[in-house]
Amino acid sequence: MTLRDRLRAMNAAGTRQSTSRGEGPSAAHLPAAEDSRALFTAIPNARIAVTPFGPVVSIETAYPLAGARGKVPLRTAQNAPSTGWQRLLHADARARSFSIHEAVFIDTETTGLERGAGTYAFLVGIGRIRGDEFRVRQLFMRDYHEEAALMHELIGELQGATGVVTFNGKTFDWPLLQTRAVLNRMELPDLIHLDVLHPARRLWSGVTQSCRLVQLEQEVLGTGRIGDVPGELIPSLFFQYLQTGDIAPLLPVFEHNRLDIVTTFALAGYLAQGAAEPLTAAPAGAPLPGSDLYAFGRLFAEQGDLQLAVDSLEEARRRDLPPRLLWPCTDLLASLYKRAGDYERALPLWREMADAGALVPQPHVELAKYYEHRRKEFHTAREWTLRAIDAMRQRWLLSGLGRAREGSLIRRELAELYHRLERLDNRLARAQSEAAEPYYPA
Amino acid sequence: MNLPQLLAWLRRDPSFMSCVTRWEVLPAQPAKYAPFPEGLHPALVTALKSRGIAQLYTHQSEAVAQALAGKSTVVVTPTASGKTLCYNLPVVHSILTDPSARALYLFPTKALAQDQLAQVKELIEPTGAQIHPYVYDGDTPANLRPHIRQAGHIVVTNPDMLHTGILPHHTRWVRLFENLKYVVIDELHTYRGVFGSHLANVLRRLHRICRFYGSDPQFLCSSATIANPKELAERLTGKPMHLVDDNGAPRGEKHFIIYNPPVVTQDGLREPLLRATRRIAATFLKHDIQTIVFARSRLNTEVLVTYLKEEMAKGSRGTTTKRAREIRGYRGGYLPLQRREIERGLRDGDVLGVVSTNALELGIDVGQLEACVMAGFPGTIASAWQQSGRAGRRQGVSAAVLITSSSPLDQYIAEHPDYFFGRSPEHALINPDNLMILVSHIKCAAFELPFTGDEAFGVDVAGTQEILAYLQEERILRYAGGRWHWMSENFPAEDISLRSASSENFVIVDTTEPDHRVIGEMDRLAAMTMLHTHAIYLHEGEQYLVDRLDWDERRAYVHRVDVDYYTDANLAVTIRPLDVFRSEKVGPLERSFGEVMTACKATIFKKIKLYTHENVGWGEIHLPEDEMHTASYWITVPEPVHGLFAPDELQSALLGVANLLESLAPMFLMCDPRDLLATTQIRSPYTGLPTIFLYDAYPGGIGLSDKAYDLHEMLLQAAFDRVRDCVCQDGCPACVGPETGGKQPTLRLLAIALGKPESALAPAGRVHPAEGRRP
Repeated sequence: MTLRDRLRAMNAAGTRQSTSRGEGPSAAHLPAAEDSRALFTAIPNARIAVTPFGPVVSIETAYPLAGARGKVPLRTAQNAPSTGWQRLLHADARARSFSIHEAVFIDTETTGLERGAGTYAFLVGIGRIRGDEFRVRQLFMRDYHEEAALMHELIGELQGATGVVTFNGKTFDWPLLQTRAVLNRMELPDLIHLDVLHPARRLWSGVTQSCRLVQLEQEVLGTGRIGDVPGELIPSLFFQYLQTGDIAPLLPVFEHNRLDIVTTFALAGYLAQGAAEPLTAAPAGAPLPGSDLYAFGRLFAEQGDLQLAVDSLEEARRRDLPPRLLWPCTDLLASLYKRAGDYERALPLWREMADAGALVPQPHVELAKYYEHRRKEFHTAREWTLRAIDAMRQRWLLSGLGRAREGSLIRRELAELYHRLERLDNRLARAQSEAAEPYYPA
Repeated sequence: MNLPQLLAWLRRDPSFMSCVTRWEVLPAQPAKYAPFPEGLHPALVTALKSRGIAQLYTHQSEAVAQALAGKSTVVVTPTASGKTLCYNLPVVHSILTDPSARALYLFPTKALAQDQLAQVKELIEPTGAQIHPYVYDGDTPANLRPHIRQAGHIVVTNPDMLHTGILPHHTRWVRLFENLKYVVIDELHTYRGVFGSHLANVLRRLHRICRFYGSDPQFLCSSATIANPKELAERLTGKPMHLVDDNGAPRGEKHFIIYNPPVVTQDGLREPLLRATRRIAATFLKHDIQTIVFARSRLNTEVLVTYLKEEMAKGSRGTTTKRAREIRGYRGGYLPLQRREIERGLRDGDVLGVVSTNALELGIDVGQLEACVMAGFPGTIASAWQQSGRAGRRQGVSAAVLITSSSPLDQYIAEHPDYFFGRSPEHALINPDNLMILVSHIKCAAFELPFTGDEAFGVDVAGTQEILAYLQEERILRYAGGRWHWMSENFPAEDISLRSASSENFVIVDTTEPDHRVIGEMDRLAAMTMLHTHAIYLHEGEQYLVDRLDWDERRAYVHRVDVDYYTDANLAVTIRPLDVFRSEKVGPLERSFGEVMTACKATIFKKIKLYTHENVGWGEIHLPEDEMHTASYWITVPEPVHGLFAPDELQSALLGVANLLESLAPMFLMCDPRDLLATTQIRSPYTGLPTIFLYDAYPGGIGLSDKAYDLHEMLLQAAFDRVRDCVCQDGCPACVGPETGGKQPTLRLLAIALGKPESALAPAGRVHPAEGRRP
């Protein structure tokens, strides 16, 4: 038996081995890269970029900044004040050096969704502001051996950039490009990285159907795509192109990549604009909805900008905040007032919550604390404690008495409330006995 | 009584001694010391002295000196001889000298990795150096991993994690691979057969990646006693090895007793293994002698724990005591915390007795016990020595008792203790070039780094390129710009398990409760006979009925039942040689080695009543035939010989020899008994003659039948001895197999094969081979 026979026999006996038993010419390996006239016919703006590592295809597409992506004008990002970008990049110590004018937007199309050294980026799109345009330059390898040229060209694009903006690039695109760089013995510059997915999640998780890019495109930007390729098909479309040399099925992938970058650009502008001037910004043509303001308020609170947080949350309550968010928004706002010692403003918010939702004990507890410690009105404090206990017990019943984890938390909180009740009763009793004692005027 | 007194008492007990087939006393051996090797970092010498280690044992000194001289080493010494210093010293030395140096440690199990991490930390601590060892395995929290990849000087892991978690992501381990100085492989002897063949390929991938990053690590290996440690280490690592096997550690006097339980029935049946084990282990335990009992299965472990707890609860004059709690079990499936507690109890003496599977055979530190009782021969001589090494102190007396079961292999050992005590004849075999394994890892390697057009992986350049071309045909790779690139969305390492013969294990799903759960896994061949629809599947003492076997999805759905029968399936095996690589006349028979295609089909199953073993029903099994392309060794019986047997006799003789070869060969080949299968054909369509096949139970073969071909006469001699010496009349499961009546024909056939004088046949030279049966 020859080696080839044994390989085939092994495969036949091993049942479900490979899923892709090729029909047609076996080992067909059309030299896609050598004959790519079809590519240049199909993509008129495609050019060859020559590098020390050989050629790679480069496609440039310009989007006038005067245009828009859905409801969001493309100027939004350009015009967003730098404070907006800094707030979005708060966690990064180098945030101050970020400038949108020297930032690059990156998105990759890959040969697989798994990470690891065997996944290649066959198409890398790089977007940036150039004068009055947002320009997307796409680097495409026609076959594996053009990867080094692609990476060389990409690194050239990154020289002088102040930051990189992606959508989900922190976990996917950037580490993958780093892997490709290592394999080609190159190095990516160390850039500030704004992954738009992270602030997008803060704003829209639970508000939009999902935080996938196409979903945000529909719900936030108010636009969609026709004939878009599902992301999971992209690797096989590339493999198919490699085997047949036919570029046509791959054309929608180029468009998909460009739209992803332009959409990320628009979303980033929306977010930066909103973060910079939450009360007045109207990145999509209308003032920010309450839900956005609430999310920004939370972000500012975490970043320690309490005044801006309070203003945003107050404003959020005035705009159409969904009932689901009204409660946490009010709760956060009240706690910020409390932190600032502004009980005047916290009090009505707690009252409002206590009146609205009997099952949540926190406002009752806050009110009990307030009357006990601040006002020394023990009767009123006792009243709120009882209402808190009531709310807590009802919640316990609703959650099913036996549910271990939540149950034990509720039990602990209940115990605390009973403790408070006992203390208040003691204080009241003491006050009564003090009152009963003979009164000696000073 | 203390142990020496108890041993003296046992020696005078005629009923005990009548079962002892050998009582070997291994004399005490004093320590042999050597100075610290020249050039060893002074901080280490100081650290060792602070721990009371003023000099090294000879083997440690030699191993360290060789490592410092740049050699790869393999150290072969018994349990508790201080082998960890042999690799920890050079590793820590190199990091003290150059803080950028890195080391990778491989242990076969996670538990060992944790144990060894503690040991290397102990060595580092007194030096005061900033050296950070970490365990990196499936249990490592995700938030710690980036730090370990960057800053871990010593990364302790297992082969599976290296295979799926590190090599495919090598670009995130640049620091490690650029500076890799040492790779430590402990428990080398466990990497044999399929597992070893896989590991050899994982290490080939490691070499490729190291070459890419410009490093060339030395390998420091340690192994239990086997016949070919140097050869195994060289085949696994692809590096020339320096062998260190002169053990300088001291050893107390050791008694090694082989005990064959008494014959208790007329037809030669012996006392059941577990009963004998209970009796003997209890003798030690009742005299407060700390004892470890090794059982061969998880089930037996549990049964023995129960027995021994019962024994210990019995006080004098029928009182009950609380001593049962001093007996513990230990096996895979116990939680890590529970295991640590038992290990500590053994070291502190709080645990008097432990019953374990071979989980405790590897180097986990449980201190040194006084006595070891083995319930059955553990399969290989190396394993038996490892297990017995668990009892044995540096000073004082220790004892190991091997209680033999009624399997042919155990009985062979009982009757041939000389064989056992002679130099270990076991070879740890691997076949890294097994086509299926090789191709699997070539895929992984191509994922990790593209192959060049003139690169070789394991086999020569032409072979490698042929395989790469084949993978392109399968549309997994693509040749472009002089290199082979990965062209698939899949992550190849995930589909390849290093430990099981087949990557396609069947999952067993328990549907008794509304929340379905997976209770186990089984390979394809076993699934045919044990998980077919309507089979009764036994798991941890519970019975389950298989409702449905989904062959395509590789799932068996079961639910718990309580029935009074079990099931036994018939597996019809056909075998067809494809190619003969070697063939030779040996005496009147002929041996061959080559490639075969086997086909297994489960046909029917019987329902057999528990205890009475009555047949209470049967059913058909509807499963596809399972084909496997593998390697086989076979023996053909030419006409002048088989003409001497009546057809019935011939059938019995073939079955008898097949059964004996299948049972005895694993000991000579140092393999898992399930790795080798035997079958017979009364008239093989291929040879036209009665034929006995012994074949590798793994697609492509892993070198076992190849070696069996070489050991032909030794195997037949062992088979002959076993049948001749068996106490049974007519054949029994301890020799020719479950069907009686085969003893005489089997013995005759073997006698003829070996040219024994008592045979009435003509000498070997006068037998002419039949003609026209060669391909």
